[in-house]
Order: sequence, then structure tokens, then C-alpha cells
Amino acid sequence: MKTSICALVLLFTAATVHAADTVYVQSSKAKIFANPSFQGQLVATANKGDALTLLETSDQWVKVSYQQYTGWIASLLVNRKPPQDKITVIKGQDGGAPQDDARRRASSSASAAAARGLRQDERARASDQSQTNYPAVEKMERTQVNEKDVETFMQAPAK
Amino acid sequence: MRHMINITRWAIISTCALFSAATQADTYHYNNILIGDRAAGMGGAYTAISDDPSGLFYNPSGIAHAAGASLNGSVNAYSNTFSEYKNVFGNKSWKRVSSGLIPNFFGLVQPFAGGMAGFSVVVTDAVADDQDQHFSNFTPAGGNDPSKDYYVNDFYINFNNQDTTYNIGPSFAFKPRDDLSVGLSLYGHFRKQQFILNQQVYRRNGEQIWTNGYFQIVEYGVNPVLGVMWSPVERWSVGMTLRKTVVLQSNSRKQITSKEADVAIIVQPTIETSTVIRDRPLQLSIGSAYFANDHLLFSTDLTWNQSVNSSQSVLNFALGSEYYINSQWALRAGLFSNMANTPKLSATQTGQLEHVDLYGGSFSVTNFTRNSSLSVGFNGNLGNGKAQVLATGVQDLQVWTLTTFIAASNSF
Amino acid sequence: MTSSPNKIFVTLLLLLSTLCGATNAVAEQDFRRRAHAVNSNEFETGDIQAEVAFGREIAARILGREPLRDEAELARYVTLIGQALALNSGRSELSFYFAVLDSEQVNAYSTPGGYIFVTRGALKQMRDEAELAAVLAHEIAHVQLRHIVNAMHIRGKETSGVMTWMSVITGGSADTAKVAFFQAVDQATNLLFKEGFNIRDELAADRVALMLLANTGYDPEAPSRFLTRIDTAERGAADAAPATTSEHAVRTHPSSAERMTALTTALRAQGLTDLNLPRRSERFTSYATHD
Repeated sequence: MKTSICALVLLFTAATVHAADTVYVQSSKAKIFANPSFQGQLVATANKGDALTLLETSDQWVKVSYQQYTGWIASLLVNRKPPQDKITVIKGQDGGAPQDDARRRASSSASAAAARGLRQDERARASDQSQTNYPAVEKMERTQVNEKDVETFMQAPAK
Repeated sequence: MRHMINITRWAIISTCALFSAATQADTYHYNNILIGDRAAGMGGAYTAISDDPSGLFYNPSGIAHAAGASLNGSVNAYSNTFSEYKNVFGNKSWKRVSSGLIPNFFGLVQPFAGGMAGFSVVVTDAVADDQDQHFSNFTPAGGNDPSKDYYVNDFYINFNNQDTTYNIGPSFAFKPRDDLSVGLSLYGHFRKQQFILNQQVYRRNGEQIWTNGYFQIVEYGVNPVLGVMWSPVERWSVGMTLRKTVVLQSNSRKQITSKEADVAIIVQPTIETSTVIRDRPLQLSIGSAYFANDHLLFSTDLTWNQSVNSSQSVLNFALGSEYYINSQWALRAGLFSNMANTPKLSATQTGQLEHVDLYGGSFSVTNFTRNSSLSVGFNGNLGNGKAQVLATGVQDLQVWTLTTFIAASNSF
Repeated sequence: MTSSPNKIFVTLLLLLSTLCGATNAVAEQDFRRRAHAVNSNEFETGDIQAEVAFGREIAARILGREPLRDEAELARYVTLIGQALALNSGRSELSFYFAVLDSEQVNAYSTPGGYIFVTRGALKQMRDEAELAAVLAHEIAHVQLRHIVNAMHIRGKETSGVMTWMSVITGGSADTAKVAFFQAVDQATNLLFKEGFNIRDELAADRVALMLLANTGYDPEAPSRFLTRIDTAERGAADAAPATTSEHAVRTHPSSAERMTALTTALRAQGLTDLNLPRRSERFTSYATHD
């Protein structure tokens, strides 16, 4: 019983020293503002994978400390887990530069899909609406751009 | 602690007045087992929380607030109770140990018909008392013939008492409003008690006494549990639970066989059966919980048990707290009471039931993964009181209990 | 039973009937949620794989209903805008894909795992690149917020904790899993084409879209402009002929008025007004307006 009282007291005390949480930047770049507002002064820019100390949360913003800076960042740009590598449905294909193996990946997704039982007859059995167009999906997946293309695209004069 | 029948008073002096209290078979305490995972860690202060499967027992309305699609939980407890009746024979004490693995709880909840439905199996009380002792060379108190030699060379006692109560049944809860929920559990009640007491006395004067008693009771009934939970302001929750076990059928049988000191042969067993139904108290719990933030909460319960037959009304309290170190680990702690429903003993009266008020604490650690949690916890209680295990005289009684439990829950 | 318990029962029932009659006082009880709830928002590799496989099947269904616009340059243009937004989303583990559907309906779709579609009809209603970005951002937001994943509870097998032991014990049938998978795909396809997301999810996607636009560097007022325009167009169309193709878009999206009010509020709350971020109407015209 004495131990339990001690434990209870410990719990009450523990409550006051709340453990700090870490969040990680998920986007390629993330702006940190002085206020929870895009109109706020820009305090710093963090990069993908950077660890930030979570101080406070509000609806769309979280208050963080980053290096010597403290400020607000859009909550959708951070997560409690470090950013993950690209995940595909095919095992053993997770790494690799996307632009290099785009074609290979598209076709192996199709075979993985087939392996998962997406055969015509099975689909008809399991589903009531089975018009699918996988070749079109593969075509869509072949439209690839790399990060550098995107950067150039966004830096073009704003016309 | 929870010896249902005061058979222990059935002492070595005589076999008269055996089982004087047998038909009254009442437990002396109402809060013997803390049910569930989270609740057991928090001293049972759960009436205003109750938002997981163990809530089906504490306050069925709480499951309306259960997070997740479908949840189930189970708890196994290993319980040890030590009772010491001090100086029964001179300076010699009686010691009893109750120990056993109790499948404390299993329950699941699932959304159904606009509310939450659940089903649970609860072991509300479980005793497995055991006493095997041998005493030599003493003069027991209470001999009424001054010219007679009551000196005992050897005394053997073997006592075994199994008493388990199960509640099994469905529940349903719904939210008539966002801040209010109502729920009902309709438990079937099943209880079985069985005990055997064997005593052999060898006196210095050559007399031999042997007594053997066997008692069994099987009860069937229902235990409706009605609960409401209301949140008057943000972060506060207030809960109320009303329950009463209604025994519908009861069959008991007792059998006594003996060889008295002054006769040479074993007396044929006397067998008595009874279908007398014992009345069980109405129980009202009121709880309040404060959800300080998503890492911390406090809760408190008061539980009142009505006075029935010779059992007095009892008020128990429970305090609990839960603290998450992070999203993976949580600590829980609690304090609670388990008051006796028997009157205090008087030095001059006879045929008195034992009386010991118990106070306890609990502590548990839980690890969470995405869809599951695993808890390990302890709870224990301790108390000093009085008992009258012989026909006359009052002994000091010390009781302490230590329970270890392991609990798992999953959501799908 | 004595009389006092009866009294308590009666009092309790009276109390209940009084409380049930009253109106909602306190909102949904989020305060009960404990810290471990964030664990269920954590997704492992297996979950993402399940999400992608699921979304890809729905994408194949969408393309089974509505053909892909066969215009490589337009596809690349839409993909560049989409990827720029996706780089600012919180879901770096996904490969997003973007496509234009050759349909005159004004609509856009997204599937779990990051397959985003916008119709040719929707492009025709747009005046600048920011508006196209707004539509793509709204769809990316549904993926970011895992609206379908959570509604359908799309998960891989849990690889840690008690669940692993549970699955070892209970096993699990591959056929059952397949049937469940296709039933969920059917449900999700229905959601996209017939029922639409619930208003709460739509408004949440709108709010996140504004943040995506501003973070990427597009005018966050574009959603309101586009919404106003299609609203006006739909009204006009409805007056002319009650059952037009736009009827569908109306059904799968909540009341424009409600969304616009919420957008205005969100713009102000997040400090997104008067940012003067580009609209890029010239570039949009050069890619998207020739037939």
C-alpha cells in the first residue's frame, strides 16, 4: 500500500513534467513562421527529415523549436515518424531512383497485382463492378517527372 | 477474509452449534477483486471512465464512448490472500492462504444498431482458501467443566474453501446526446461454493474427537447493471451505476460427520439441504473523472452497498490516476477501500463474524502498439481486524492480499 | 427489496428522461481520447502497401469508366503541378500520379495511394494554373488525410505486438481477404462516384488544400474563385436543362455555399489573405485550353 501511495504521488508529479515530443519534416522544405499564419514573419526554413521539438499544437499549425529558432509550422508538413522512403506495392523495389525504373516498376506492379488475384474471372466473382483499365493505369504511372524538373517548373517567371 | 461461513467457530470443544451461520452465507466484503485492465490499475475508480470492455462491468454506458471499431480485452490475475488469526491457541496462530489464477475478465464491444453492444465474462469474486496446520501441547480456552482436563496433545486442521462467482452476459449502450450515454448489462449470475473442514483432536486424557464438515451451495440468478454517464462540462465526466444480484435459485447441502469425545463410534452424517435464497444488496456507484489532457486523468468512485439481512451497509471509495509517459507507455495507480459488512466484534458476545476493514493500492504499466496493449499490474490490500474462530474469545486478525495481473486488449 | 432502491430507480429514470429530452450541450467528447490513440494513426510499410494496392485497383476502375485524355504534354503539365504540391504534402512515402480524364463532367477524383484525376470538363472551367493547383491540392488533401483509408479501414497486417501473435494463432484465409478487398474497392468506388465524401471530410480537405497551395507557392484564393465559377455554371445549366452532366458533380460535392463560407473563414484564420502568390494564367492557357 505504501508503494502504491508513492506511485500515485509519483504520477501526480510526473504530470507536471510532460515529456517532449519530436516531429519530423515530411515535405522537401518547410517554412517556420513567427505566428501561426502565412502572413507571419519567416523565422527559418527546415528541410525534409529535420527533427523539430513539438511545443504546442493548434488546428492547422504546430509550434516547434528548430535549432535556435522557435516558431509555427503547418501541421501537415510534420509527423511523429521520420519521413519514409517511397513505398511501392512490390517487395524489393522500394529503393532506386524513381525515374530510372519507372517503366520496370509499372510493369512489375501489374504482375504483383496479378499475383494478388486480380484475374478477370476472380474479379467478376468478388466484385459487382469489374470494368477496369489497367493499361491506362500503367500509362498514367509512366508520366514521371523528377524533383529537379518540378523545381525548374516552379521557378519559372510567374506569368 | 472472505470465509463465507463461520464454520471455523466450529471448534474443538464440541460439535454443537455447527454451521450456525451457514445458511446466511454472506461474503464479508464486496470489493474483493478489481476487474479489468485499466480499471484494476486505477484502484477500480472506473465508473466515470468505463470506455473499454471492462466498462461493461463498471458502467455499461461508458462503452458508448469506446474508441475504435471493435475492442476486446482479457485479464488474468494471480491472487494471494494471507489471513492470520492470531493467538487462537495460546500464542499459536491460524494461518490461511488463498491463492489461484483467476480468469478475471473477458469482454468485447462492437458498434451495433446505432450504439455499442458488448459481451463479457466477469469473475466477480474468487476464493480458494487453504489451511493445513498441526498444533501440539496447549490448553484451549473455553472449557466449561473445571474438573476436566482439556489439554490437547495434538490438533490437526485441514480447511479448504472454494467460492467463485461468475457474471456472464450481453450489454448495450447508446448516446441519446453527445454528452450523455446510457447502458445496460444483463448478467447471468452463477456462484458455486464448496468447502471441507476436517479436524482431529487428541487429548492428554485419551479422548479423541474427529469432525468433518462439507458444505456446498450453487446459485443461479441475474445481475442487471444500469449505468449512465454524463459530461456536464468539457473534460469532466460523471458516472452512476446501479446493480443488484437477484438470486433466482439456490441449492445448498451440508453434511456433518463426527466422533465425539465421550462416544466410541462415528456418528452417522447429518445431511441438510436448503433452497433458501439469500438477498443480495443493491449497489450504487457514483464516479467522477477529470481528463486533464490526453496524457493524464484522475478519477474517483464511491460505492454504496445496501444493508441486507445481517450484513451492514458499506461505503467504499476508490481513487485512480493514469499517466502516459508517451504514446507507447502508460502508468496507472490507485487507492481503494474494501470495508467489512459485518459489525465490530464485542469481547463478551459469541457467534460473531470476523470484521476487518481493508485498504489497498494498485499500480500497473501498459505498453501500447497500434492495435493492442499489454499490461502488467499489481494490487494489494491490507487490514487488521478481529475474528472469533472459536466458540468464545476474540482474536486479532490480519489480512493482506497481493494480486498480480496480466491483461491484453486488441482493437480491430 | 426495500422501498429505497425502488425510489432510486424511479429517480434515475426521471433523470434520464429529463436529460434525453434536452438538446446537445457538449460537443463530441474528444477529451476522452488518450495519448495511445496516436498509435493508430501510425502506418507501417504494410499499411502503405495495402493502401497503394487498394488505390490502384480503384484507379483502374475509374479509368474503366472514363478514358484517359491522350495528350502527353498536358499530362506532363498536370503532373508537374501535382508533384510540386505533393512535395509539400506530408506523404513523402507515396508516389503520386496525375492524369486528365477525357470527360465533359466537371469533376476530380483521388484514390488512396495517390492516384489523382481531373476531368477535361473541369479544366475548361479554370482560368489559371492556381485554380488547377487548387483542384489537385483538394484531391491530394483527401489522400493526405486518408479519408478513404480510414473510412474503409484499409490496413496491412500488424507486424508488432499482440496482433502478430493473434494472427499467428487465428491464421487467416487468403480467399476471405480477397473478397473483403474487392468489397471494399466496390464501396470506395461508390463513395467516389455516387455518395461522395461527407461534408466534414470535404471541408477538412479544403482547409488542407489551402495550406498546400500556400506552401507550394500558389494563390490560396484560387479554390474560392473556381468554386464560385462552377457554382454559377451549374446554376445556369440547371436552369437550362434540369438533368445535365453536372448533376453528378453537384451530388458528390457538398453545398458550394457551405464550402465557400468555410474557405473564407479558413483563409483568414490561417493568415492566407493578401499573400499575392502567383496564379500563372499565361502558362495555364498555353497548355490547357487548346482542344
